[in-house]
Amino acid sequence: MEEYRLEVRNLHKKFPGVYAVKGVSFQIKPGEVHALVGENGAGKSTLMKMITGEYTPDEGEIYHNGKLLKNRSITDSQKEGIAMIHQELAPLPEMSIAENIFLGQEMMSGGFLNDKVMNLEAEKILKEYGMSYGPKTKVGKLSVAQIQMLEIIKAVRKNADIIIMDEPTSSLSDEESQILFKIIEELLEKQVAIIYISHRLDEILSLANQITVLRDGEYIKTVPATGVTKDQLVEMMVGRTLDNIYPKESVEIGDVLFQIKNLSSQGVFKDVNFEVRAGEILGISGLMGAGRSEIMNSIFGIDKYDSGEIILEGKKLQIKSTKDAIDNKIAMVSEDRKLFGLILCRSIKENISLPNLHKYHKSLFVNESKEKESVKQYKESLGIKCASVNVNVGTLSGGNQQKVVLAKWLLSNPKVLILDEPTRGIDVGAKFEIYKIMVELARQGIAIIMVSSDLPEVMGMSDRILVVSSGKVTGCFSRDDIVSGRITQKNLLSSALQEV
Amino acid sequence: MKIKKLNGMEFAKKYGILIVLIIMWIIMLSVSPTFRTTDNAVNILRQVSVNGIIAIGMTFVIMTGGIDLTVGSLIAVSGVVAGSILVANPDNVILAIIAAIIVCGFFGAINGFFVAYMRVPAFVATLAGMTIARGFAYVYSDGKPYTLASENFSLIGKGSVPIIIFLIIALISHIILSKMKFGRYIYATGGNLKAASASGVKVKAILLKVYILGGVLAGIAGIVLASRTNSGQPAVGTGYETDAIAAAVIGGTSMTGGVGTIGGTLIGILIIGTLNNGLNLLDVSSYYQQIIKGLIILGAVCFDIHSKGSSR
Amino acid sequence: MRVKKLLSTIVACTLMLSLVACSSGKNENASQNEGNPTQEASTDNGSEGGVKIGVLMKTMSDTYSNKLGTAIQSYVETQYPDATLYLLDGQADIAKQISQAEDLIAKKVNVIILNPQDADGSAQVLDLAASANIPVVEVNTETTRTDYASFVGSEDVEAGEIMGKYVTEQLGGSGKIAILEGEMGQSAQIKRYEGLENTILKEAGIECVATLSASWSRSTAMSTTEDWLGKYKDLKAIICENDDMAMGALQACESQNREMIIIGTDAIPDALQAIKDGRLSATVLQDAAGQASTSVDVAVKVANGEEVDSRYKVDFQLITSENVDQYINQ
Repeated sequence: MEEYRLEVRNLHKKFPGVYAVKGVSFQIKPGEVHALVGENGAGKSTLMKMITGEYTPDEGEIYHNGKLLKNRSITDSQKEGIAMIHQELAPLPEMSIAENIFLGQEMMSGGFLNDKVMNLEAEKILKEYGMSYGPKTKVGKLSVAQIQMLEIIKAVRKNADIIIMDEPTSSLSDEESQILFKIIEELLEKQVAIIYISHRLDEILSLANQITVLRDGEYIKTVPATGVTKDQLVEMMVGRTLDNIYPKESVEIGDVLFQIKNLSSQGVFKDVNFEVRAGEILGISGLMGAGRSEIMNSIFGIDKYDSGEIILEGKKLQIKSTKDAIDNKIAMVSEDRKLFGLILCRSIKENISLPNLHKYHKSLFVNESKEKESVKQYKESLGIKCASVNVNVGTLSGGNQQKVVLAKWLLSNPKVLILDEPTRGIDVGAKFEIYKIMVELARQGIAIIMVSSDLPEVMGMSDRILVVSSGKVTGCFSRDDIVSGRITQKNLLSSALQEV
Repeated sequence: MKIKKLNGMEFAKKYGILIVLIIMWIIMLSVSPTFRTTDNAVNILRQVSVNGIIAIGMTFVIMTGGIDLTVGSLIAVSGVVAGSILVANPDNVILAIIAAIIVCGFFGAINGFFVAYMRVPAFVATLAGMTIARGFAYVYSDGKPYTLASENFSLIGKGSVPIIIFLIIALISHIILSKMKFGRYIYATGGNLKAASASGVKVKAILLKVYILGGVLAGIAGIVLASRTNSGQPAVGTGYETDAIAAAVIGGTSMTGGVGTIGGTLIGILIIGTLNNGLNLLDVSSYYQQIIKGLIILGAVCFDIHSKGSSR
Repeated sequence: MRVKKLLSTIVACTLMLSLVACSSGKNENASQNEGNPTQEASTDNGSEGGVKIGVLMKTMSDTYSNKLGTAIQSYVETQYPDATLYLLDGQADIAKQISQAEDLIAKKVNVIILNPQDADGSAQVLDLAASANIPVVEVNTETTRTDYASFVGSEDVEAGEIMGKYVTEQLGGSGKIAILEGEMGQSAQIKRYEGLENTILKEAGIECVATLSASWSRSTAMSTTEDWLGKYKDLKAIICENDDMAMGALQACESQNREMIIIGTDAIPDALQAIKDGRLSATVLQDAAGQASTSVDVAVKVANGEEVDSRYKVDFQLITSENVDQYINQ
C-alpha cells in the first residue's frame, strides 16, 4: 500500500443527467508519470477535480501515501501535497515573478516583506529551471510556457509530491515542450508522481510509465506505456478503429474563388499573395508568431491592413470590419475560440445564430421556431453532443465548442472559410469529425483556408500548403509533392525557419 | 439526455430568487393584516414603479458588462425640465414629457459615447455623468423646485397609471431581450465583446443604444416621480441608482455581463419594494430598516447563488 | 486608428475648452470680488460695508434653505451694497461644507455665516475658523458646540410645540396620529421632535401609532404615508417635521380620499397655497427673512468688532387658513 503515491479505488461521480465517472481505479508510484487519456467528456476533468478535492466522490476512496483522503478542500489538498497545473492558467499579470513564487508564503522580516531575500531566492530558482528572466519581471510579460513553468515551480516549492498537468503542452512550442519534459524528468528524480493529461499521444508514449484510458466516464484499462501503440490507444479511446487519422478525399477543385494580392500591414506582414479555389483546402503552415493568424485577422476585418487587395469571385472587396467580411460570405473560426469565437455564458442556439440573425427576421422579431430548426439541423449534422441547444456553451467540452463555432459559420453559407488552428486542444475523435466536415465542405465548393501548427495535420488535409515566416510567404507545396513524398515535415520546417 | 423531474433542488435552482420573494410574502401575509389588502398590493406596485423603470434600464446596461450611475441624477433632470415647461404652461404636458425624455436620452448618449467610443470604463464615465447631470439639474432650475399645478400631468402619477407604465415598459423590454435581434446582440456584446464583434455585431453601436435606453428610461421614471409628487425637484433621486443596481443583481443579472432577464429584475424590485413597505407596516424604526434591508438583500443573493451552484 | 485618435483629441480639446470657459467665467467673478475688498480696504475701519462675508448654506435645494439663502443674498445686496458675499451651497454633504469652509478661510473672509449641515459634523467649521481667527455666526440650525460668536435662529423646539398644540386642539384631545421625521440626527429633527414630546405626545387621549423618518423628502413621505393609510384606517392626523414631507403626505391622502389633519413646518409656497385652497391644515413659519436679516446684521457687527449677544431668537408663527393671506405674497 505505502509504495503508492496515490491510489484511487472505484471512484464514482454523478451529475444531474450525467454519469461523469463510473468506477475508476488506478495507482501511481513515486517517480512515475501516469498518463490519462480519453476523448473530451470522457471524465478526465471530473476525475482530477475529485483528486484535488474540488468535487467529492459519490462513491470510492482516494489514498495519498496510504492515507485515506476525506472531506477536503482544494487548499487542504495543496497542503497535503497535491498540486494541479491548469490548462487555463490564471496568473497575476501585474505581480513580479518573485512575488508570484512566494505568494502565500512570503518571507518576512519583522512584520514587513523581505523583498530583497525573496528576489535573491527567486533568482536562484529561476536559474535552476533555466529561465532567463529576472525575478522582478512582471508575470504578464512571460509566455504561456514560462507561466506554466512558474506554476510548476510554485507547486514544487509547496512540497507537492503529486503534480497534475492538464494539457501542459497544448500552447507550447516544440522547444518549450522539450524544456518542460526535462523538468518533468527532474521532478521524477525527486520521487514526485505526475498525472499527465494530454491529447498528444506521441508525447504520452514517450513520457508515461502507465496509461489509463477512459471513455464516456468509464474506466477502460490501465496499460504500461511500453508495448502499446498509438493506434491501439486511439482504438481504446474511441471504442472503434479509425482506419485513417486524416480522412482526406480528393474532390473536384473549381475555379479561383478568392485571391489575396500584395496584402501588407506595417511591421506585421508584407506582400502576401495567394489564391484559393472552390473546393480547395489551402493549408497555411509556419511557426507561431510568424504572422499567419495576423494575416487571417486582417482578411476577416478584425485587424486593419495598410495596402493590398482582397478579391472574391473577381470582385475587389473593401473589408473594414468583420461585418464587411461576413456580408461578403467570408467566415473565420479563429485561433482562440474562447476569446473570439464563443459567448460562453449564452446558449448553443444563440451562439450559432448570432451572425445569422438576419435570416430569421420576420418583421421586428426573431422567428424562433425557424431559428431553432436550423440550429438543430446543424447540431445533428455536426454531431454536437449536448442535452439541448439551450445549454450554455461554456459547459461543453472543447471539441463540442469548436463544432458550435463551425456550425455558426456554416449557417452563414460562406464561400470562403478560414480555419485558424481548428483542432487545437481537441481530442482525437472530435478531430476526426472536424476533418470529415472539412472534406464535406470542400465538396460543396467552399474555399477553405486552414492555418495550423500541427504539421501532420497540414500535410494530411491540405491540397496545397503555403509556408509563412516572419510575415512573408516562404514556400508553396502541392498535394502531389506531399503524396509523392517529395515534401516531408522537414522541408516544411526549414521553409518555416527561413529568414527573409 | 432524459427529461428530469423537477424535484425540490432543481426547482430551487431555477427559481431561487422567486422563492425568496414568495417566502417574504408568506411571512408578511401571516403577520400583517394590512399586507393582505389589495390596496396595499397596489401601493407596493405603485411605489416600485419609479425604481422599477430605472432598474429595467440598469438591467440592460449591466448586461453589457457596464453600469449606469447617472440614473438618479437624470430623474432630477427629467423632473426639472418637465417642470419648467409645465410651470410656463400647464397644458404643455406632451411637450414636457418629450423634452424631458430627449434631454435624458442625450445624457445617456454622452455616457454611451464615452464608454463605447472613448473606451472610458463605464463606472468612471457614468460617475462623471452623474455629477454633471446633477449639476445641470441645479443650474437649470436655479436650485429651486418647480411646483406643478397641471391637472393632466398629475394624472400620470395617479392610481394605477404608474403601474401600467412600468409593466408596459417591462413587457416591451422583455420582448426586446428575448425576441429581437437587438436583445440578442446585447447579450452577445455583454457576454464576450470580442466574439460578438467577430460575429459581425456592431458592438459600439449596441453599447451606445443601450446607454441611450438607460437615459430614456430614467427620464420616464423622472416624469412619473414628478407627477406623483407634483413637483420637479433638482435634489430628488439621489441614491436611486443603488436600488436599481440592487434590483438587477438580486434578479440574477451578472455584473460581468451577458446574463440577466427582465423577469429577474422585476422580482428584484418587488423584493426591495416589499421590504420597504413591509418594514413600514411592521413599524420597524428608521435606523433598523436600513440594516435589515442590507441583510435581507445579502441573504437573498446568497440563497440564489448557492441554490444555483450546489450541483456544480 | 487614426480616426479614433483624432476623435479622442477632439473630445479632449472640447473638455479643456469647456473647462477654460467655466473657469474664465469664475475668474470674472473672482476679479470682481477681489476688486471690491481692495477698493474698500481704505474705508474698512469706519464704514459698515466693505466686509467680506462668507455664507455656508446647508443646501440650496430644499425649499426653506433656498428661501433663507436667497433672503441673505438680497438683504446683503440692499442693505450692505459695499460688502462682498460668498455664498456657497453645501449640497447636503457634510464633507463638502467643510471643504467649502476651508475655501472661505483661504479667501480671508471677515466673518462666516454658517448654516450647519449636521449638528456634530459642522462643528469642525468652528475649529477651522477659530484657527484662522474668523468669527462664526450660526443661522437656523445650531451645532452641538457653542463656541460661536452668535446664533441666530428659531428654536426648533418651539416649532414642534406649535405643531403639537395645534393638532391636539384640532383633535379635541383624542385620536390617533403619526409622525414623519426628518433626516435622523439633524438638529431640526431632534428639536422639533422634542417639541412634540413636550406637547402632544404627553396627551393621554392621543395615541401616536407610528413614527418614521422620510428624510425631509416628498416622495419618501408619500410612500410611507401610503403604507400607513392601508394599515391605520382611523388615523386622524399626520405631523410632518417639514413642509415638503407634509405635501407628500397630503398627496398620498388625497389620492385615497382620506380626510386628514396634516401640518408641516417652513411655510414653503406650495404649502401656503395648499392651506389657502383648504387642502393642508396648517404650517409653522420659520421666518427666513427674519433669520436672514438678523444673521447678516449680527455678522457685520461681529466683523466690525462690535459686541453681540450670543443668541438671537426669531419667532415661529402658526399659519392656518385664517391668516395665510398675509404670508402668501411675502
